[in-house]
Amino acid sequence: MAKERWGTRVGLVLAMAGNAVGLGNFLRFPAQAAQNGGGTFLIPYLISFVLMGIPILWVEWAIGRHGGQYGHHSAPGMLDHLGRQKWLKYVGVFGLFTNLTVASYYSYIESWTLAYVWHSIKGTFRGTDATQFFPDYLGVHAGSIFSVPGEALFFFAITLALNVWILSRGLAKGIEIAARIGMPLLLLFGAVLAIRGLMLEPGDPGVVQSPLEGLNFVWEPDLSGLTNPTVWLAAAGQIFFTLSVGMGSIHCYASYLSRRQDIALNAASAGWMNEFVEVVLGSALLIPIATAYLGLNVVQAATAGGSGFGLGFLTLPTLFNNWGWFAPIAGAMWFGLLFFAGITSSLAMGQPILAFLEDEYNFPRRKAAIAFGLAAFTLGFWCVWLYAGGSFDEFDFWTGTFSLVVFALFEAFIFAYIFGIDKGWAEITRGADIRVPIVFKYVIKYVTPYFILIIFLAALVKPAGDWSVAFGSLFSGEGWPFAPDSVIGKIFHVGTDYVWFDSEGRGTRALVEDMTRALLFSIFITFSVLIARAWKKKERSAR
Amino acid sequence: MTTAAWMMLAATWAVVCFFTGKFFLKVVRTPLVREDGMVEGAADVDDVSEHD
Repeated sequence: MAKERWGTRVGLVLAMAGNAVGLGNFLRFPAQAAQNGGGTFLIPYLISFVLMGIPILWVEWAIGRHGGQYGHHSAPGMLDHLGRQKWLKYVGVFGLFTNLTVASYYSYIESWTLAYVWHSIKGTFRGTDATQFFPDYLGVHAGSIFSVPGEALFFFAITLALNVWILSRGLAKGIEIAARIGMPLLLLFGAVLAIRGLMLEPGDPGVVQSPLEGLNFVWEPDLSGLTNPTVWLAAAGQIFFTLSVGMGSIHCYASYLSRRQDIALNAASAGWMNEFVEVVLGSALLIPIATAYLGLNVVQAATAGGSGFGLGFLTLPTLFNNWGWFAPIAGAMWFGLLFFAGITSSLAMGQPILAFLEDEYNFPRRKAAIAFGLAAFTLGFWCVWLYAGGSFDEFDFWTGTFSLVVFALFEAFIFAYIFGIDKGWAEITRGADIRVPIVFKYVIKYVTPYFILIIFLAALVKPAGDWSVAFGSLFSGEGWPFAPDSVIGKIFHVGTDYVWFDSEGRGTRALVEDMTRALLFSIFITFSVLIARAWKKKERSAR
Repeated sequence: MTTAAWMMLAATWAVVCFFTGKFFLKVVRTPLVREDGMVEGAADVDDVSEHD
């Protein structure tokens, strides 16, 4: 089998940036910034980027390129070569489990954007309110935990088929070409929409307020935020999730570099490109345009939970109707850019699974791509079918949030303390096309792992409401108020009525949540068994 | 928009645009050099053999 490699350096950096750029850049970042101190949010955000984001990017690129020299392009084999401990390869389970499970529900969201491109061009949102269209599209009905939406399944299948096709073409001829087309178009669409949106003025059809008021909502600094731990944790969390670290996909892409090819500059370039899309385009689109047509009060209420998801899917398609002949194009551009953001990420999730099947089980690439597609569709169907029952949210929490932090925590400590910071530093700086300041050697050992540890602990015991209020509650003897979306709150179903069947014998959300957890756990065990078998086979053939 | 908001926006966008541009330009100007000394874009043995 010919050794795969990247065709061009720009292609590699765009693919890595595409991996990081996702829907969260446009839908989550502006809402998080607005809710956590506005412009002040950017101070802890950029500090987190320098002390945690960039260092963990370098760590992941280094682990990837190092593993690639031993013929491993997925996390288990890479981690196995970082030390002598046999358990290291099982930490790599996260690098497979997370990619497959996140890809299965993430591709579903990606398919919504594709469907919305189609409906924008078709003019569906001229006659139908998007707030009504969305639940109908998902097949959600009040009082039922089940939904089997034909059209959503159709677009989901198309989206996954497209992913499988691109993946089956290989690194240079598939993923790289997709990134070289998708990323420039994403930037172009974003720039056109931002310019058009920011040029709106009160007096234009439908405009009730200047879009600059929306921009002000995102950027107005509230200096008190700097002393608020909630703001710092929100900023660190946003950096962590926007860079797509803790997944195993960065490792995989970097593993196709040779021993002396640069990783320091490539990682920095891909990381900053993600920041450009998030900070510049992400803040200039959703909230300013929505503010222009809905007014600031409505936008503030819609983003109160720290997510702009509702505005992006439920509101914006209808608001574009005010743009006359340009409305279908604007809708297609908005959902098109979300689609490109999505597909460049889902391809990065698929590649480690393909690499694992190719490296450890000798699957041909096409067969591995089809196996990935079928597995992602099967798991994705669980999310589609039980969407209203909460399966989708469970996937998102345990795989798209919790597992990422756990894996990043492990790899940060393993890299600094088991592989060793001296070897690690030599790995990061070998062949570097930029001078990496020596201070980062100490940051990687003494700051980054503990930074991630704090994020992990904060996710574990996240309080309902503000941290200072929670400590007040603890020290006054009233106990710690666990948030329903803290890890402990999730485990113990805090804030929910924990029964599997209601009084009429129908399955409840708690039932779906527990079944989904059992499913995810079984996938994790399956990957562990596959790794154990692959290594046993290797040991037998080595004797 | 308030002056403070404009200042935060301008400062942050300037920092982000500067580093994004600086690193990406360096990437564009420095092509991949493989272990065998080949520079990206050049035809190599593997490419030829694929057409056989």
